[in-house]
Amino acid sequence: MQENKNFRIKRLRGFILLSLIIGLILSFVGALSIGSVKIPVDVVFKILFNFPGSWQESYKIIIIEVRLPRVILSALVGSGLAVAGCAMQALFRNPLASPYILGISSGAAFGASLAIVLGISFGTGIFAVPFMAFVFALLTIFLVYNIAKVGGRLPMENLLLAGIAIGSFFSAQVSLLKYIAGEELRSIVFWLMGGFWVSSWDNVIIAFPLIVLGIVVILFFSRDLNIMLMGEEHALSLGTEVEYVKKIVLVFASLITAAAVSVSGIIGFVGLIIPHTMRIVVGPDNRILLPSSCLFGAIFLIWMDTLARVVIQPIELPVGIITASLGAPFFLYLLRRRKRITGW
Amino acid sequence: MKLKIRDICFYYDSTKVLENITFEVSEGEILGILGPNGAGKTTLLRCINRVLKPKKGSVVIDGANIRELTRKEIAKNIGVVPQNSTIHFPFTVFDIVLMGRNPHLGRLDRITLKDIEIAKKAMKVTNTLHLADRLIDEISGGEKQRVIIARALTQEPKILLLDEPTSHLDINHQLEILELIRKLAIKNRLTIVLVSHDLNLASRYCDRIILLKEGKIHSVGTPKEVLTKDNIRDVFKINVEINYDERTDTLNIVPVSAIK
Repeated sequence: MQENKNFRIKRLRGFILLSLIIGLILSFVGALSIGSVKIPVDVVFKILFNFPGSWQESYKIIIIEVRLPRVILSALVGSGLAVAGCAMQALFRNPLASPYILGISSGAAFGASLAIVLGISFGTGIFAVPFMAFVFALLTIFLVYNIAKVGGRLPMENLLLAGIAIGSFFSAQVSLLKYIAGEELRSIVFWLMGGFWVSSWDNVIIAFPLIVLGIVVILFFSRDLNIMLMGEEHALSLGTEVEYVKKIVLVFASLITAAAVSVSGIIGFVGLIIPHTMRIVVGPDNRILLPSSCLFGAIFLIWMDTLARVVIQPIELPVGIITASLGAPFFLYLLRRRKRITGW
Repeated sequence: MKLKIRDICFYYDSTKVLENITFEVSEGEILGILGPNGAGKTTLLRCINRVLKPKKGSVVIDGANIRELTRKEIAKNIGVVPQNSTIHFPFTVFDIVLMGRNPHLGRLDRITLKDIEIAKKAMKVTNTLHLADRLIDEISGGEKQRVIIARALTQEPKILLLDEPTSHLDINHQLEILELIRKLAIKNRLTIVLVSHDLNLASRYCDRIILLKEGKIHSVGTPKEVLTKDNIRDVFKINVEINYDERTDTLNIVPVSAIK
């Protein structure tokens, strides 16, 4: 009976993952087709796969140079933040954990604001903001990690407090920069709200390897994360190298977050709510929760960004506004529909 | 498998918690560790499976110092039922028990039919198979304790450490768990170390008892040798009456008064 049950669960998991993969592909095509210029789906396919056909020359530029990098980037950031959030929630055993909990976002915001205010540019100038954001994100996690460390151990409460303290410090510096920014204030505020306005293939090339690497590494640790949910003492007695798992997962979740934030600003909500949403659907087992959060995060952010592009044309809304405005009611709906109260 | 503890000392910062603890436990034996709160019972258990690293001394299983073993190798030999088993996450009982296979699996290995068989066997022994599909946060305290024991058995350990496995349970479930533990010692030939607060139950189920007082071994021996009026007064600061009960072949220890 147990084998059957196990088999059924495996099939159900396979079905959920397959639906999400199909959903992701459809989302890609849909998002490429929708916009200020509507491009028929069949034309999108033909352009993507270089099939012969006739269409306006500008379509190809819109698809390949404008929409494709943007859709890929929103998918990357969505899946990355969802996986990083899921991993943080498992490590902290806390439903309020998100990728930004250790102050990475505040550090990145400071780096980006500094680049904007000082007008730093390296040659082209385009890269300065994401570069500074990335550097300060990594600096933040380096500081938090080393301040929280006691001997060879990394107590999670220390980590949390150090993260909050360093995050607050950088937030204050961001406020200071905003205060003295003058004309650049608008750029800072826009960056802080998060969005994919400036998506280019360059951004994709920077973010892709970092985010994909981070996701793959964390997926390898799904079983360890399950065991860590039992508490550190249980995990140790079950043969898990708790400190090692914490370090690896923390480092790679931070790497994902730093990469995501540096190319898209601070998009809230995704890293917190996508793991919760999927937990309601597939349960707490990270072996299915992590990959399904990854896929659903990508789908979610692709559509949120598409909405951000089209909802009040020709003006674009910051995607962070949309994610929270639509995501929150959707999540509350799931929360109310859920029959059980236990767990999170 | 024989468990040897040699001269263990442990400090929290500069406070000495354990001092020169030495004892051995044989295959099939149940050793009880008794003592008042703060005597170092749980700390001692944590030192045995290296959740805590003692400042001095060694733990030897099957001729190997566990300091030289990896965490997984330790977990293959030593199963643990910790004191606090609150699990807030709605995993199924079967998922929880299968986690006991973790020390036998590499990072890329998947659960095989053999692992499932081992988990099912452990659940039969602990009478939890019927709970397999239930969620861990929905079953009773006694059931949960048996599930955690099943998880520990799924590790296929030779040594089992239990930290107050019967606290929070009613008297019926206390006996049930202790009968199960005795069965594991006799039939499965496990080496068992049991921390307990209950003098009567410990005297009934343990083959030998260690009394801990302020981090040191006060006395060792069979329940009858160790649980005397004088020893109990000395360690627990209470006066007791002790009767021998022929029906259960156990001591009946009745607290009379606390010593101020």
